[in-house]
Amino acid sequence: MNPMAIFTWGASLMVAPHTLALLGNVAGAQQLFFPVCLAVAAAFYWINALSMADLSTLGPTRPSDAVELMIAGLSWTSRWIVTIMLSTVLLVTAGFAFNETFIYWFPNFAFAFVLLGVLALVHLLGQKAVRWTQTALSVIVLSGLSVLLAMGVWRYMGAPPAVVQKPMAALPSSMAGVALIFIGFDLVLDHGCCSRSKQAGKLMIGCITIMAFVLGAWGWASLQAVPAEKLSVSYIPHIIAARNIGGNAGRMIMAAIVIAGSAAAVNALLSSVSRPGFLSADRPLTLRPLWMRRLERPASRIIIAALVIGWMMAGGVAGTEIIDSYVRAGLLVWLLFYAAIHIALLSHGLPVRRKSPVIWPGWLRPVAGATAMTGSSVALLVTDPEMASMGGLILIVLLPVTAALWAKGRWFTASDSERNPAEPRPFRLNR
Amino acid sequence: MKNWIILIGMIVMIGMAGSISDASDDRIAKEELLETMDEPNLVVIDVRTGRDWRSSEFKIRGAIRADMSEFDKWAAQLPKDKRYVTYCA
Repeated sequence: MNPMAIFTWGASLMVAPHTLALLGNVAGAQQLFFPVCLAVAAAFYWINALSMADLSTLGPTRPSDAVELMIAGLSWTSRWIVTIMLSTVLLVTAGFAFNETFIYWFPNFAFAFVLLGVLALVHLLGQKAVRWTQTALSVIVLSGLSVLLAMGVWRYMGAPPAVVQKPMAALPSSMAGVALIFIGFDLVLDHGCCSRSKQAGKLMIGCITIMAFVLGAWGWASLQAVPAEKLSVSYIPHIIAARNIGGNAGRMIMAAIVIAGSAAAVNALLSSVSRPGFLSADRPLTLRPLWMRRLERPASRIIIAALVIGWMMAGGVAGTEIIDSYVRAGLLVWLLFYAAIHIALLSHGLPVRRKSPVIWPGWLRPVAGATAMTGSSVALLVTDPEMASMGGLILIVLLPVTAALWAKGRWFTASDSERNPAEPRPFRLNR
Repeated sequence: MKNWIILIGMIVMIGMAGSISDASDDRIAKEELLETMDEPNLVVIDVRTGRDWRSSEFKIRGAIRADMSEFDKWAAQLPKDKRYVTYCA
């Protein structure tokens, strides 16, 4: 088990600027209820992690092909949409942070392109370079956050808690936002080794738990440093909080966190789309055409992703209003992917957990998880003013991706009759 | 190696296409603008939109916001006796 994977991969999206901004908004809206809501969200993500770990240990029996296709389709759709849209946003954000904080004469878009080129090059250099880069970026982010937290605790320890200015009006609408904070914890599986359930589960739960404390502490510090109303509506609450906590030094530290956090998130997302499909079964593949084999190479995927992201940045898409909705669309599908994991377990049929001190039916956990994830994604969709555009984007990507996966499984994968019938078909969670 | 060269070359070309300024544009340096900020006839127009504007930590005091995609609409309505500086990044 690689514990560093908790921070370097599992937390890569949780400390990216978009999540820090979301965290600030939610903390400002929920105030005293924020720690409770964060804990509830973390609990539901523990459930997601446990179900994912359980799914990886399925033996010869496995979910049906339809369920497997649903999982694969949602996984690929979510990761590609989030990789393209969120990377575009994050790289531009990093460019602005660099230009406004460090070197004002260096064009912000030029920095964004340089960052994209460097990350793509790192991926083409191989997995070792990717891991080293991710580790370095994560160290910068976590060190910076630690320093700011220490400064915040030193400054505000003993201060009275934030007062709820409004009744619980903001609570329902912000709960769906809280559900997005821990998205990406499963990226830890990309590089955290583990093909066994206990290791996978431990890594993921460890990631969620530690980050819940870290993000909760940052939310508390933000509430102490910035008025709740301003925190809830600002697009850069994390920068304002850092500035109020540590002055210009705090501002510079947060800029470094924004740049490194953006790079780490983009690096992790590029890694997630460059690998074979999530939950890919160990099925021998029949002869495939050359173009398909080339398209499945990690380098090809990285180049395609980088070119699309570069094209979007050059086209000014990051400055449009709709990009934020498209990012939410991708995250929404990621929530549905988590729900699909639970559905897969339900379709498999879980036994009653006899070793638990409390005997509860095996279906309770996946039902709760699927309900929470599906409900959050629906809430995110219906409360967004660009609901139609989000739905359109999801369908435009999901349908062809699922069709392509089905076609690949149908025509380019050995069927059961072609395999050795005595050989079990493992359902592996990791690559 | 070939893949790297192609990728880096295309990203650089795209980046340059987006970042290279038109030499015929009239530009004003930050220091010069700062010196003339108090002029009554000077109007700064912030043309950043969406996340470009929201993610920025700094907004110029007194600047008015406008969308460059609707330049023809608002440009015609501006008084002709003032000096305008557009700001994008």
